[in-house]
Amino acid sequence: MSKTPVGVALVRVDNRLVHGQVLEAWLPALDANAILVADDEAAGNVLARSAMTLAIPPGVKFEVVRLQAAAEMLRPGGRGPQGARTLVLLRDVRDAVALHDSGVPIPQLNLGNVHFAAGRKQVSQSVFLDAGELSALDRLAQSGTKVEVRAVPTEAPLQLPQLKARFATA
Amino acid sequence: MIPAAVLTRPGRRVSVAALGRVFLRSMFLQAAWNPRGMQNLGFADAITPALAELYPDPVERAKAVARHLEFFNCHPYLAAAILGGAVRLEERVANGEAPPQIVSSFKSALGPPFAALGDGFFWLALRPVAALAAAATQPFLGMGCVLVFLVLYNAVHLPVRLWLFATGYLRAEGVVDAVARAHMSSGTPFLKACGAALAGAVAARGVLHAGLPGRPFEAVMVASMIVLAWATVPRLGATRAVYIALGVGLVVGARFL
Repeated sequence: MSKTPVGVALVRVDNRLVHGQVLEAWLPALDANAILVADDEAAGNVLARSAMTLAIPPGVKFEVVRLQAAAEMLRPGGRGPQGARTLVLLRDVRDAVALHDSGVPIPQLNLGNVHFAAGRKQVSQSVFLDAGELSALDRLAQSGTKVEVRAVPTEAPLQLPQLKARFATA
Repeated sequence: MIPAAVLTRPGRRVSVAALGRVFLRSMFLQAAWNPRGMQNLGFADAITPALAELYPDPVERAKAVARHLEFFNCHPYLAAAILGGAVRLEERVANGEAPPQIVSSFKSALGPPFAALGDGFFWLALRPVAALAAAATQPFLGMGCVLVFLVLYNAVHLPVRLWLFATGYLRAEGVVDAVARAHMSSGTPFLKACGAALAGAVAARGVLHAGLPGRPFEAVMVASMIVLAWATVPRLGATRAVYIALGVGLVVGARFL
């Protein structure tokens, strides 16, 4: 199994990026002191960035960068994230796959919220996936990533085989 | 309160009556909550009175309403700011001053962070503090303490919601700065600390009330349970130990055992 990049507490896929579940549930549960949003759209949107900054609690380091910049930062030998325990937030499954394929080790990948879109089927209360995303996750799992669906830390996590079963019957 | 420049600006505008109806409908934002679009139906329904005035042509109006059926989720109170801002931006779109995409990108940029602010301030700070403050008045007011909760909570909730809606409408994108200056996220830890202190007071009163009068033995038992549980059970933590002891104390005090 690959080693977690230094400074990364968890990598999470969440369409909503910074919101209540992340700040009120995950930060304390992970004892995280920083959030890194790796998203091209958010990095290029001043309004989104300032609104997110507004919600970050005092004492938590916060950074929004493009996906490519995040890959360079988190790759072995990169400068690493700002905090000693950073929660990395991605908007979509394909961003996680892109990070992985550009050489960032992701030992654990948490799927929090993936909204409905055409072609996606519901695999949990808050996660909808399409066939391509599911097979991409399978590929990540085969290279050592532990994939789980869990909106908040107190929930029981759903593992990849359960997701496939639910996808098949959805 | 409304700048003269806004009132005299030419072009299509939403009437105050319609704004009022949008605000009232925003109270039902979550009535049709669903996993696919979350608050999308509530949002589309709330903004409909404004769209009806901005787009007299039924085809244009249908297109505008359909835009608001996209995914949306926020804290139900903080969403008022986004709804107000969306009405303002729809005015710009209807007047040809901006493309329709600005409404979508405004909603999706502000929804999640404002949700976090609302969760922290209202759900995790104001609501428990108001409830605990009301619980503390129970010995004096009896069931009247329920009214104390409703008054305390809504004395903050309703004005804040109205302010957010009005500020959203008047400032559109500027609502982020306005909310930043309201220092909601920095006020939240203080309110939470007040809540913790109140919880301690109410819990202490509960233990004393349940154990002390006439049966001091139970109070001693509850106190030693807290210390014992905290000291012996690994990772239990003082807070949980107090809650468990409090539960036992209440059961014993109410003579269920």
